[in-house]
Amino acid sequence: MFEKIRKVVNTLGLESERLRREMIAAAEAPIFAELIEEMVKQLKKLGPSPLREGVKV
Amino acid sequence: LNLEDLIKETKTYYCLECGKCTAVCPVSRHNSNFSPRFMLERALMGFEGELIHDRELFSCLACYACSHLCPSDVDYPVFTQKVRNLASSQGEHGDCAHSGTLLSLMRLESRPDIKQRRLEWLNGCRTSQKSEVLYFVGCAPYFEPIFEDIEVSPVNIARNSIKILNALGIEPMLLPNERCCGHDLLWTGDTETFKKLAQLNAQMIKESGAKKIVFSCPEGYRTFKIDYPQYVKLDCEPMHITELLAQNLSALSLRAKQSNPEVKRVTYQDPCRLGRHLGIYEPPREIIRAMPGIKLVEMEHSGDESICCGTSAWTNCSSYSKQIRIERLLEAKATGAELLITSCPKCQIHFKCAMVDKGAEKGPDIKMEVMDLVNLAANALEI
Repeated sequence: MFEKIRKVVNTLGLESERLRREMIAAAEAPIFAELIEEMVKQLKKLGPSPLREGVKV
Repeated sequence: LNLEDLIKETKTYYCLECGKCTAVCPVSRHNSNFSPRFMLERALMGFEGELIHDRELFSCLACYACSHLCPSDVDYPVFTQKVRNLASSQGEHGDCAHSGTLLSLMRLESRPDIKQRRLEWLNGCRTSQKSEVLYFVGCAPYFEPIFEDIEVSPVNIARNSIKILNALGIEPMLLPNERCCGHDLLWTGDTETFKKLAQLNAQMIKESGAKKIVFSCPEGYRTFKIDYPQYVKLDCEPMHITELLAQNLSALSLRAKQSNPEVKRVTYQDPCRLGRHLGIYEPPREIIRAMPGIKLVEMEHSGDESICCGTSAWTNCSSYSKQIRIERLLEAKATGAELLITSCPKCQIHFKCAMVDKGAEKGPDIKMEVMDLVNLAANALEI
């Protein structure tokens, strides 16, 4: 399923970094927080998504 | 838009309550909760709320079997389309198949700033930057990964369409940022997004300078031919690839595959949009008949009596849709054909879906090869 979504996101013209799949166990809270922070940082670098209406990049 | 206006617009007040619509409707045949006649009656009696909040409002396939028989010429599919528009403004959307993914993708394509990568499959196809002929690819690049599990390749239909155009001496141009035609959104009541898509496409086509737009998908074709002119200005002529191919059959040489010397029996599924919507029954048949080594046998219901593949606009796909498909596939098998040809990628998706369904194992044998006419013709072309 992830592979399908990856292809569709690519066709839509989005950066591949906007999509990510990670396996995190319920007990691994610090890892979860770390990955989310990392992804947020990455997304901020990419800027607003062209899919957001009304946003001019 | 209100109920009264749309009754006038679709000539619903001419309804004689004869019930031919419900008698011929493929959905009513299996789902007794759905009846076009009852829907119209409620509209005429002013029961707007009941009509709008009926979950069966989204069960109509817009296959035009009803209006085709209607003695008063009531346009039931368009009536449904407009009532759905009213319903969607009150939060009704029908049950979306595939968790709504496909309709969401269509809505995302209406964003003006996106820069799609929708032509990555193109390598090897002969196209040009400037041509009078534009090939409209449609949903194929999005459908490709989504339906690969059921072994349908809409991108292959697109490649073969270009191959056929090449054989006719045409190197078509393609729009790198083409948008969804909006068919499914229009028919599920989202007229607002439909308009956005139509405007984006019309603008890009205008800038391209195309004079003709060729479609391999009947839904896109219908939408450009009948619906777009009501919303946008288009200075070019849409046409279906089967029309173009049938017109030029004498210029091409179609040959039988050498590995398959025996005569193959095939049957043809008329897609509703190509058949009853636009009256194109003969061109696909002319192409099939022109192919050596192939014999066309018709199903019990064919041409303008053809039965829909059972789902439209990815909405209200149910066990009834499956039953429609199973019956249709049994009709196809009863002809003794080994191959079912269609000229709509969605017919193919829906039939294949019925075949791989787990429940299908318990029922009658409905497995048979399904192929798009474009693929069959491209295989037989001497190029």
